[in-house]
Order: sequence, then structure tokens, then C-alpha cells
Amino acid sequence: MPPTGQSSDVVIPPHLGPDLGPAFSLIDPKAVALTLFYLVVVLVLLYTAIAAYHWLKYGHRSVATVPALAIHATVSLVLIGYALSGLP
Amino acid sequence: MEEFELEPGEQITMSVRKHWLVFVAELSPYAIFMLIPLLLPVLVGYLESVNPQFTQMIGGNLSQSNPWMRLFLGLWLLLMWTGAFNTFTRYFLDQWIITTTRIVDIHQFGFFRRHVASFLLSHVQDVTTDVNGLLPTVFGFGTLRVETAGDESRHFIMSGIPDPQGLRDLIMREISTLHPQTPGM
Repeated sequence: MPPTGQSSDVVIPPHLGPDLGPAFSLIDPKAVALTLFYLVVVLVLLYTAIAAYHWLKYGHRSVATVPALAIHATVSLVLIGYALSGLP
Repeated sequence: MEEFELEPGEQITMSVRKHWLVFVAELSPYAIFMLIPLLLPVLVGYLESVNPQFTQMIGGNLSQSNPWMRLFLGLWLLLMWTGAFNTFTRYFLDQWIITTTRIVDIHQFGFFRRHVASFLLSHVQDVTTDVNGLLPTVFGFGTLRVETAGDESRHFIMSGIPDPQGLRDLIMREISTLHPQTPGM
């Protein structure tokens, strides 16, 4: 059918990407999302533990240490909670 | 600082971190990357005004009412926040300390490499400053280079520090206090 330039001629594809075959149909998007969530959270928790160690060991005499760690922990928890609200 | 013990009679004259503008510049990539997903609904709204079927084409809405968007936005912001906090940690834990007898250079490279070097003011041969560019000139930050004398000449570079000329004057004053008999040092 030749294009007429009108919006009614737009064909909506059934999927955006190529058909990757039946193997990909076995992947559960919910499981992928859950794995990704736990991976990022574990990485962040690991980082927080290491950062806290450095702050407490090398910056322990500074008044900024406790507020900095508290703010980091609070913001991280809020963002984890926000991401958690989107888990399927 | 546990890794830095003062000698008897030694006093800290000044402790220097990078200029706040340098810190802000290092933070800015994270701020930009944080904003990108927040601009997605605006972009989708614009594309929808161009093509009303755009939302259907991408298979759903990209607003925060979509649970998948909340999940990925939350994880993305969490990663960006962690990167930004890491920048702040490095800014805070990196410093140069000038005492009455020496200069201590403390740098945190990554998580598990902390470099602490010190050299005596009595070994300082040359102190030079460099303020190069519009922003460094306007905001008063730059580079201080300290070179030590001897067969194994070393040089320490403090880049992005506020008021490098003032710091150079301070170092020269401390050196002249150590060597009152050698004017011009």
C-alpha cells in the first residue's frame, strides 16, 4: 500500500524488536527485574559498608562524618523503597 | 587522621581540600544522568503530540504510574546517588595538610588504595603556583607545585586548591621560620 502521509496509515508493529525465538520466551521478566533489583541493592549496601569504614576510620574527627553517612543511608533507603514499589 | 601522627612540637598550620567548584564540576555528570529519566515523560509527551499513537508503539506509558518505570527509575537514581556520594567521599578524604615542619599529601584512590606521603619543609626547593583559565581566575583556585631538593628530587602537585598563592606564601613563611638564617628561602 503506498503511503499517503496521513496518520491513519501508520502501522503499529506487534513488537518493537526482532523475534528472538522461543528461547527468550522462557525468560520471566519478573524474575529478571527481581534479580536486577537485588543485584543493585547488594552493590549499594556493599559500597555503603566500605564508605562507612573509610569515613569512620579517616574522617572520624570531623563533624561531617555522621551527618554524611546518615544522609547517604536515608536517601539510599528512600530510593530502594521507591524501586521496591515498582517490583512486579 | 589515624595514619598521620604529629611529631612532638609539630602543629597543623592549614588543612586544604579541593575548591568547591572543582567538587561541583565532578558532581555534575551524576546530576545530569539523574535528570535524564526524569525528562522522559516530557519527551514522550512531545512525541505523543507529534504522533498520537507513539505510546502504543513503545508498548506502554513511561510515567511513574507504571510500576516498571518506578523500579528502573529507583534503581537508576540509586546508582547515580551512590556515584555522587562516592565523589563527595573522595573530595572529603583527599587533603593536603601543612604543618610547622612538613607537608602531608593524602589521597584516596578507589576503595582500597589510600596514599599518604609527607615531606619535610626543610627539603623544599621550589614552590610554584599556576592559575590558568577563566573560572580558576574568577573563583581563585589553581595548582600548587612543590619540589624537593636532593638526589631523589620529588615534586608534589596540589591541583584545584583554593587560593594557591596564599598557600605558597604560607609554605614560604613556614620555611623561613625553620631557617631564619637563610633569607630568601
